[in-house]
Amino acid sequence: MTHAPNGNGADEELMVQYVLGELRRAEAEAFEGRMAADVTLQADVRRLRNTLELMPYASVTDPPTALRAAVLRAAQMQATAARAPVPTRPARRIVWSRFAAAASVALALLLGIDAYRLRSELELQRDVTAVLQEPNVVRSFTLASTGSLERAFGSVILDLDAKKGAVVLRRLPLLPAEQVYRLWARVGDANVPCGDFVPGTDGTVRAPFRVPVESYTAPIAGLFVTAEPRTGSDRPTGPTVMESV
Amino acid sequence: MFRSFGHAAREFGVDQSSDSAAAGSAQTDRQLMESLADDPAVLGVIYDRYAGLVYGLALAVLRNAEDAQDLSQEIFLTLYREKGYDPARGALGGFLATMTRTRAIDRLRARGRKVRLLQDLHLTGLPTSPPFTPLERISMVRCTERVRAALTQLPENQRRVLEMAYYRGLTQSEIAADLDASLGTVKSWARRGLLSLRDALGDLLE
Repeated sequence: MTHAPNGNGADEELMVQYVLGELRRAEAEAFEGRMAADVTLQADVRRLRNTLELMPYASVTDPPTALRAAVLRAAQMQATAARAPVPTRPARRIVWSRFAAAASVALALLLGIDAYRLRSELELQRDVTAVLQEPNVVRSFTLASTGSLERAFGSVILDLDAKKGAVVLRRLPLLPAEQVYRLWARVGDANVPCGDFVPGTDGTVRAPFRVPVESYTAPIAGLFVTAEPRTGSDRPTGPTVMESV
Repeated sequence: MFRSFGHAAREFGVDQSSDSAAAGSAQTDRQLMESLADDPAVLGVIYDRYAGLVYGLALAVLRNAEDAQDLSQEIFLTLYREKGYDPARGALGGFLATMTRTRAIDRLRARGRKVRLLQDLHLTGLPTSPPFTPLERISMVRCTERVRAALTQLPENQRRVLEMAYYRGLTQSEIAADLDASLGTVKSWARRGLLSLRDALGDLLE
């Protein structure tokens, strides 16, 4: 099989549309399937993607001189604050992100979650990050139960750069064999399915999944989980059991 | 735009007698990021290396100097605070550019602009994609010159379509409507433009 620059126009068109994110989900998946088995195609796509990654170098502009000092001052303040002793409780290093930890604490306070639950939230953050193995560009969501599933909670991290995500859900009741839990992204007016999950006997789901960024035409407004028949539908039909908070 | 590590060290009040300080500007991005956890002064070296890329991209997307400065500061502080960069996944310049573009377009969106997610332009369906590190071959200045020259060589319509997709996050359908051209024509401009750019910058792409 030959490809650009000596390849056929259809392949070139497909590669460009793929790199520009213009393919529909099914088309992108089919193309990725071809790519997985074709190292030449992989190399051609990589060159095109790298071409696009050079685009921002055209806009390089020296920032105002004062910005450098402002950035370094702010970083110094953060470093000083991080080094300051906290007498009331032992320091605890959150490997993944201080921000995630702080957000969890704030969330816990806001929702009145107890200390045990807070520890679980932090463990959850580490768990879900471990599934994703240190993502680069991430968005994270905390999921809380709705309706009858009062005890369920979870976390989702989306690495939109790598088009992959990870979900950890806990205390989910088992479903009948013909049903699954389905994660959805609320994107504009649409709900995009992100994956089907079946909890283990301990009620825990811990799984990576593919993020269909090509289906996103707007920011992700939130995530939610429904109980659905295994035979998939493009729209949620079952009850919503968890929602991002 | 490269400055010495000592400049950053002075601003942080760091002892400049360290050999590592003098060698800061010669360190690889990976080495700098490894040092950053223990020595915040290293952020100055990283800033000197990439501030032009981050600020310029923010300015190109947001078209407002104050917003671009604000976002640039946010980007470098996020890099410093969260340390979420994984060298195995790609070059630091690419990581910073991706984060900058993502957040810049998020800000545009917050202003009510209809734009796409950044990530649409950064698909990574390649099973084993090595990091793309153009700055390990040529300087930022030279890289900028090469990319600008290559873009200048493109016919106006091809360049414009690529810039509208990259900087404004528009889909080809939106670009077609904006330019009052058919979708097929816009697709053709995008394809020819990107392929020409690839050919012009071929030596930087491996």
